[in-house]
Amino acid sequence: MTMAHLVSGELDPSPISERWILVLGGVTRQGHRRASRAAATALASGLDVVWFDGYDETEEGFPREFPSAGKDEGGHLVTVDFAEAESHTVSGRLRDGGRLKASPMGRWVWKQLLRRIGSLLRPRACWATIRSDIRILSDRRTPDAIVYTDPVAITSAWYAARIWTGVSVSTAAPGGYE
Amino acid sequence: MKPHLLYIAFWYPPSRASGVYRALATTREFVAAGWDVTVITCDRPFLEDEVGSVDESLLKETPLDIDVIRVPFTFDLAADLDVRSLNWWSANFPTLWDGLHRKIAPIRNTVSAALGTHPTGPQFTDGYQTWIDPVVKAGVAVDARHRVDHVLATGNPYSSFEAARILAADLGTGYSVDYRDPWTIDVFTGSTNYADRATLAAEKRIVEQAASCFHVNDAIAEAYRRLYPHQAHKQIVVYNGYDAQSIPAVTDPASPPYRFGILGTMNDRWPMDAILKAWKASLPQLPAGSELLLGGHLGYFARSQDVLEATLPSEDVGFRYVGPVHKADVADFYASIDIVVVPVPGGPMVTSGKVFEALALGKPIVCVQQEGGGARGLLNGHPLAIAAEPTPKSVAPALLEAARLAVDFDPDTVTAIRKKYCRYERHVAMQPMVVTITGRLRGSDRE
Repeated sequence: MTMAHLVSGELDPSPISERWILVLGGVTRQGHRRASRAAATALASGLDVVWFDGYDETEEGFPREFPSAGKDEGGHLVTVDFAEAESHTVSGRLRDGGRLKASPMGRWVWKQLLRRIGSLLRPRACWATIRSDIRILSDRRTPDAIVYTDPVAITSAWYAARIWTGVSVSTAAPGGYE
Repeated sequence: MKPHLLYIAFWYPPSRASGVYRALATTREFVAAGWDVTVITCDRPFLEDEVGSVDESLLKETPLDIDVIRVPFTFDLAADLDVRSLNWWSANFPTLWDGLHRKIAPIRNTVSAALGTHPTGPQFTDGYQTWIDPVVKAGVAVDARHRVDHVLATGNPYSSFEAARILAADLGTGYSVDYRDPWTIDVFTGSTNYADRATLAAEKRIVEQAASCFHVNDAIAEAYRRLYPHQAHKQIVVYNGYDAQSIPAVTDPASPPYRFGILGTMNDRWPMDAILKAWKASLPQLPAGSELLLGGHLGYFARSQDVLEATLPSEDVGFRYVGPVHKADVADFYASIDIVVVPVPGGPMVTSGKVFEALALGKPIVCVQQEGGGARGLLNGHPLAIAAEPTPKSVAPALLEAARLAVDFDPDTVTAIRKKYCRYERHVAMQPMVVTITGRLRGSDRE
């Protein structure tokens, strides 16, 4: 298999073959690991994989895991890292707490509140971040399947399902794509 | 033909949850008693991704001649979701939508249970109820291949009990439940801890229909006898006990400096603050170089580790965290220390599995638990046990007294202690469960 790591906005669909799956990897560690396993399974069956990866290893403290490259057989993996871009959205700024002028206690309370609001907005922020890349893909290609791997990716999966109406959408959680 | 036990144990190796050791002992003892055993447990991705830790070494402890069926489970709201059927709000704010749904569910269940309008009867929510149906299906498939003679479930999670009840009814066999903790009774206060009528109703029907209910100590069994007086005869005590392999050979009496040791999975209910303050206060009175070692995982979930680690002191106060201690290395850990410190939260219903190892070691024990606590009760009459309240003022003199005992005792005392407490050796301790269920089989659970 071969792989290419891109950041959001750089996606070029030309190296992707006709047989591919879309993996919406979410932002959590478990979502990242499930995405990695789902990608590995698809690659081993000769499918290409486009994996939108919002996992931020500096935030979670665990390194990223990717299917190992270099095997002769298998498809082509394209990962699109959108963690950095997503951190600049309204959701990302709210989770960061922003610059607050308040007493230490007041600041703490506000930070918790803003973080909570930012987290609730995050699924939509992720979709807003990857939307343009998905549209580029949709102009040229139709995936064999759409796989999402954590709750934050549900929004992106819902919108992707509206773009590719005939494509199966499933989770890589137990009982899903794995 | 061998009888066949279907054992529903959500936590089973490679899980490292505290209930795993009792589950392992259960399967071992039934195999030794001539049963075929099939275990239904959760899947590895759940342990690896959501719990965040496994202990591969525990897989070596599982009996070779059992079948293990892993039934998937996840807390993830993304699982089993029909994305296309979502409305705009639930699709764009899935975590908010799910949070509201979870908040409302118990209220809705209670109301529908009270009105009798729920299509399938009162539905409890312990967070694991999505596991019930797949387990029942898996159990039916197991029975089709190899007839099941009895279903045994261990909880928590208590959804395992409900799965056992439904499955046993489907198969026309009996079932038993093994409470590692009480369900609707608060283990710390003894009062009812669920206002949710659906949960109370679920436990009631499970206990009423079960063949036997096993409990880890007398206080919990007694509480269940009081709660269900008509089912009092079913409540049987099966102590956790200790594994013989965890007890090292008898060593010579200690010599200064002393090594105090705590072993177990630390959690935020342990009275560690009192112990650590007492340790710092008593350190100047102990021989130079004395140490307090802590061995074990910090919390049950990977995310707990950093939080608990931050509460531990630095090593310059004679404290050392030695990290997780695998089951095979427990005896070595105990051999390396002179005095065992057992931190236990709660009251009469809390005994802690580790207290049984401490009982059998034959080393001085400092048990830190409030008066009337279950672990303290078990230590009554132990010649080297000192009980302390969970306050620095009570623990500090106990540590110093234990250091004195560590040099005074002789190997004959150790031998006598080990003989006295061998009734808690796991093989012996588990027998009431094996004998009860085997006895029911003779009475014919299933024609």
